[in-house]
Amino acid sequence: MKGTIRAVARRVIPFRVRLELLRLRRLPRFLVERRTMARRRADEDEAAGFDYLLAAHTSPLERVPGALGTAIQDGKETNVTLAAGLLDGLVVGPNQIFSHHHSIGRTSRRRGFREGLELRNGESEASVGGGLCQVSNSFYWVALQAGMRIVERHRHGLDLFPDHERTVPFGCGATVVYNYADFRFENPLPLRVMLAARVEDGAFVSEIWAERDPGHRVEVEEVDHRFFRENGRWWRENRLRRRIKTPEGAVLLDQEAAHNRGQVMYEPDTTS
Amino acid sequence: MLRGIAKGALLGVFGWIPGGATAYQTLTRDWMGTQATHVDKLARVWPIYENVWSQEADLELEGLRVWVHGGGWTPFPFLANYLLTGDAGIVTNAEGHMLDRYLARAVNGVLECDLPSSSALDRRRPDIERLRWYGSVADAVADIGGELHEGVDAAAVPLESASVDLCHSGGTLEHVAPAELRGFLGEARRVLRPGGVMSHVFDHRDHLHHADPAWPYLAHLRLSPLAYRVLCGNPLLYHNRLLPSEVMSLFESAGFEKVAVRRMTLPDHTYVDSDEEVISAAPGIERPVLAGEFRQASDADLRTAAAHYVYRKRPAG
Repeated sequence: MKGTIRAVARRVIPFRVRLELLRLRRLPRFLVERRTMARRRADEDEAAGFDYLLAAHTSPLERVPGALGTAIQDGKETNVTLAAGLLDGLVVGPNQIFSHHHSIGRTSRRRGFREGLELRNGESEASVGGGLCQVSNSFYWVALQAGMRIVERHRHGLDLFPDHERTVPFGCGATVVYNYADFRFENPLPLRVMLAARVEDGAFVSEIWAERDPGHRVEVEEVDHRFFRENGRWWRENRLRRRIKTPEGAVLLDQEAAHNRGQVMYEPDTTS
Repeated sequence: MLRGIAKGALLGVFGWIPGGATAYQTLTRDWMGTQATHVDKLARVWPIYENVWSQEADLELEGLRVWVHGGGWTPFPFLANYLLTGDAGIVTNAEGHMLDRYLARAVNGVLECDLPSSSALDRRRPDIERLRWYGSVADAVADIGGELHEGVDAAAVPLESASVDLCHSGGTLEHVAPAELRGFLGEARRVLRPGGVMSHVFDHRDHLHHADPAWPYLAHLRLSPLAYRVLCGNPLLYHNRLLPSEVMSLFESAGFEKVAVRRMTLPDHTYVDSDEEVISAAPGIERPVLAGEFRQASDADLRTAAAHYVYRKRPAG
């Protein structure tokens, strides 16, 4: 019954209206929890105290040169640069939660954000703040490797393009839609960590630094990757396993960090 | 005093409207994360409990089966029990539910707890440490063999008879009405093994004192039963207002014998064992303003902010 009502609502209520209703539903909680989220940024002196790199990732801002129009690509680069400025130096205390939306806020032209490509309702379209998924995707991957505890993450439901110089496994993303689909992680360590973010040589650089060596090592591995057909459509699936080890190599924990599944929007090459 | 009045009014409003208590708990504990400070408090007091259990009650902690009633919103009791005894034990909650958001905080709190060093504890630390990455409290508790019961009626506890060595609570039983408390003590006697130990900390203070230190810590003893029921008889403000001597009588009539009663006095927050030491502390309220039913309270009772009651199950007959 509930499913039927939802299906009818999806057909009858326009996407933008549904989106605002979802935002409104999460708003009270969003406002109340704001004070507990990581929002303080370190100044230069304090940032120098975070000198142990837990994890880092660099991803090019333009994956396939010329694939997007110049205006859209420029807009995306502007958006990512602005977001990097808002995240750089953010301190996440022990047991504190980082929230993409609490840190970056709602994107608007007034705040300097521009139109970039965004995946909405299964279709790509230009919208203000588009392209910021690259920021949440990168920090999801970095947070996993830094040993953070992922407390909210929404994966992309579609695999839009064939792999092109892919450096991270399929599905290592975190889609974000202000404010109801957030990317959040908790710092489970008994020490503070700091986010560093910047745009450098046409790439987005994301890092998580700690005040000292936390005394464990993290490995993330993709397993059970496959393409498969179901109901006449191509799907892609994998699992990510995360191993937490002592510096000596003893495994403290071997856990499934994610199970990714997405509809493939291109004809996959399954010969390799 | 204004802070105390404001907090009392806030809790009064939430407490009296239907569903208000649940809404208040959701707002503060689920959304605002106020129980994080509770973990810090438990990390401070658990070494004191450990000392009382091993020294005053003469318990061998290794392998001890511990039941914590009113374990709260965090898995701290499970983790602390596992570290101390090798058995995560049992937690029963009458209200509230354990929240995933406090898991890593509880792990860090337990690992930073000032517990006595031993090879057994050191061996178990990595088992606790890895739990900070678990996705849910339920998985973490299951991993160390803990047993969680939520929504428990204190007077009908779903535990097997003679299955537990130690029953503990902290800051829980003062919120249980006397009749229900008698039922709980009867249940505890049933669940404890022969010679089992009761360890219960009652916070005798008017809880508005926590929000406003200027609020006299036994201010709730001013109110007559009727006035108290009208002003504070809701789930967020209710305190059974039992005096320490009344609590001791309840334990004894339920079939327990006294091992130790340690009273906490203010302003130093120190625990003392003898009534003579208690008398030198500051009173929580002046005797002339006491409501009629509390006029006969002893000087020691009027100077007890909290007390740790340690009793042993008396043999039957």
